[in-house]
Amino acid sequence: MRGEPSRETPLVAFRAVEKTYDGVVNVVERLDLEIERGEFLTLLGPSGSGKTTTLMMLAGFEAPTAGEILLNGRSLARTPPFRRNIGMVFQNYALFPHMTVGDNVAYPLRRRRFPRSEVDTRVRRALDMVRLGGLEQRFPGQLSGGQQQRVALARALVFEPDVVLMDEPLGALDKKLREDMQLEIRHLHQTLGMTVIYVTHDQAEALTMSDRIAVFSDGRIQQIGSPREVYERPVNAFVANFIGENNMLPGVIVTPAEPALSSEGAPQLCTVQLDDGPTVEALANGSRRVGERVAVSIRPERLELAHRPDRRNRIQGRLLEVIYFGDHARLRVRVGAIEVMVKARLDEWRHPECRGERVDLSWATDHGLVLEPAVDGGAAA
Amino acid sequence: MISADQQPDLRRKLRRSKSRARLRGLLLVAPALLLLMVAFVAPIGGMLFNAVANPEFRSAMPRLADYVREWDGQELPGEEGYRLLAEEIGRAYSDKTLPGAAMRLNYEQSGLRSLFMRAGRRADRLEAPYRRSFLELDKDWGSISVWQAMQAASAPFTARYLLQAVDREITWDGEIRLVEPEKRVFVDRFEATFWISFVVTSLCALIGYPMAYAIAAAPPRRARLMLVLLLLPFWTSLLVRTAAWVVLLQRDGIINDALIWIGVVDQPVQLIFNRLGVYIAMTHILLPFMALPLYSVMKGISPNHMRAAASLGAGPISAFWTVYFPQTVPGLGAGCLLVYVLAIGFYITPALVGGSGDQMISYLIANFALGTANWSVASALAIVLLCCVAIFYPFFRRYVGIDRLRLG
Ligand SMILES: Nc1ncnc2c1ncn2[C@@H]1O[C@H](COP(=O)(O)OP(=O)(O)OP(=O)(O)O)[C@@H](O)[C@H]1O
Ligand SMILES: [Mg+2]
Repeated sequence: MRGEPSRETPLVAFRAVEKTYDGVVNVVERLDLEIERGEFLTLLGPSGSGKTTTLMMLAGFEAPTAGEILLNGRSLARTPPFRRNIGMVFQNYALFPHMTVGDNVAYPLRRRRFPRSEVDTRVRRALDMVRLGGLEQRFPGQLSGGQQQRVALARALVFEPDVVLMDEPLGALDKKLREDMQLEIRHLHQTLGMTVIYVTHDQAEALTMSDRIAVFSDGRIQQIGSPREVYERPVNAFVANFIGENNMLPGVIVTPAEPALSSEGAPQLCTVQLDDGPTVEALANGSRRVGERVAVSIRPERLELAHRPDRRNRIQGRLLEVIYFGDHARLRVRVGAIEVMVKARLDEWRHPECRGERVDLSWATDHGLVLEPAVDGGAAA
Repeated sequence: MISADQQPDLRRKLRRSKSRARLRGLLLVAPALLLLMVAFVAPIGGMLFNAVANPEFRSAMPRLADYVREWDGQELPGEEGYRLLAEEIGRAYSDKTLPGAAMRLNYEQSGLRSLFMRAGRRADRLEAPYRRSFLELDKDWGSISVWQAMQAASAPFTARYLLQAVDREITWDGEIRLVEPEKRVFVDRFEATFWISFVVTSLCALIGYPMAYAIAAAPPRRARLMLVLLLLPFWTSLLVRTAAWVVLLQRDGIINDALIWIGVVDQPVQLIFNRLGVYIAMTHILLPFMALPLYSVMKGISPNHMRAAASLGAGPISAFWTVYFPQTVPGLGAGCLLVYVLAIGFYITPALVGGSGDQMISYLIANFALGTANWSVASALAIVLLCCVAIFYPFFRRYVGIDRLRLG
């Protein structure tokens, strides 16, 4: 969207960035991250994982304690926030209450001494873009939460910044409005081609909006990849448990994958003896030793209820409870010592609830992933 | 949907529920209203009345008062008038109301007090023909100005005190003019009062703004400590604080010693018993009234606003003036109003640390009310002061938006 977009240099690059507030713990640990021009990157992670801190360092409100941040290949270390040309949308919008909507949106243009006519046309265009045309004269206090959110968006976009940072911009909205705004932001991103770094701890939001997701935990990026990769091929138990729902079946490796048979990096099939049942096959990312303790991760929606003798991966359990969700039902099933959650379509589950009933579960081989066993069970979203 | 014929019913219900809410609101504020009536409206009403009331002469000599009201004011009254004068003076003397009336007449024309009191003491020796008798007593009784003074003193209301409060007087033929230069004391004091208050308010704003900002920006623990320090002076009385400034600022006080020791000056500087002393002491005493409302609005401004301004391209100074300062204006206005109004009412502090030219109008009001017991002039001064202050209110309301201020 701008001139001289060099292929090699990413728009934003974090190089070995560290940050500590108290000199004791690093809130951000050796962060290496590159963001391409036009990308929609989401930082996803539990509370306190350092997402806001990362954004604040990029925006210039916090200084890294080590490493450097580059914008367009140039270090930002000596650039004060107001010269960075980075747009920011705050969680509580941070609209200026003493200015009208029009003045709020015009603010960045006036600071840049745009001519008056240019300011007017741009403000009008920006407000039309977020479907708020005609509300220029209102004060922020007279707008609903969703409208305020859109004003904040218009204000952050109107001066065509290099990057737009959004720190949980939808956190204060109710579910319906949130979903509308998610789509709206996504469409704006697609039509304007801007670069967005978006912070959320709502995994559904991250999955629907992003080109790439960086999953944060304890100041580290656990995994970075497309929503599909992160959801379907989580690299560790934390990611598997944090994004979406997940079942972890503990077991021991019986047959490790044969490195010779597989190409570099592609997942390989190994056999796992489950603690509470039969031997199953699952995909492993790296090589595993025989006898290594692992866990097989399966998404609840990948578990099938029907008795499928053709499946090689089958377990049995007893029904604990059926939870009705309107569009689907969830079954809590006890399998040996652990509990498994199954997401069933309503036509799959037509029996009346019957506690203690025997349930057969099966899944396709490539839906089970071999991960190291979760130590703390992980945080479920 | 509600059909049209149901609407009056709805409206009635709404009105009923509203009036119930209003009644409840009224009950809640009733004690405050009562206090306001007793402690504010009634005294101000009384003051207003005192400032224009003219009862002394009429209550002492009612018949004479009626008589001079009828009198045309052109020629000396005849024997009839002097006979009434003799009777009324005699009666007023014996029931001891004469001194008040004589005092009142003396305001109109100096010398009348002794003239009337002398006539009162000799009233039993006054006899027909009365006019001759009076003239024998004192030839001033033949002067028409004595009767004019009585006529002025007999009206139920008078503007003389209010005019006096602004150094004006009204002549017999209704002309309003300045009093003689040596009697012009009040306007000067009013000017000094407003000027001192203005300077003190400005100083408080200049010092209080950064101070409030520092407290609002400090981490909670330190902010609490700073607030306690700010409020500490309130634990001692105003008099003690003022006296402390006398100790600090006097010729061989700590401040002068320090200045000489540093070498800024080699002679002690006159820091007190002049305007400077008044400014210093009053600014110190009134500073919390500026800092607290400012602190309260600053506390409510999200730090994200300044960050947002920076991310939108505003440098620190520009962000301060365009984003921070406008949001603090209600607090600044409230602080200024508070300090200004309180400063106008100061009198102990200027009395103790000021020179003779630094006394404020309240000092004169207290002096008239308590010293010479002239409640009329005291009230008139107070009324003029009240009006001057009231003029500022719409200004503040308009430009500062006190209505928008939220405390706490
Ligand atoms: N200004 C600060 N001073 C000291 N510690 C801070 C400060 N800001 C954040 N922290 C700490 O740094 C850690 C990371 O905070 P950060 O705000 O980056 O988390 P986050 O991922 O944005 O969390 P959330 O989802 O709750 O917003 C937290 O443990 C927090 O307590
Ligand atoms: Mg955060």
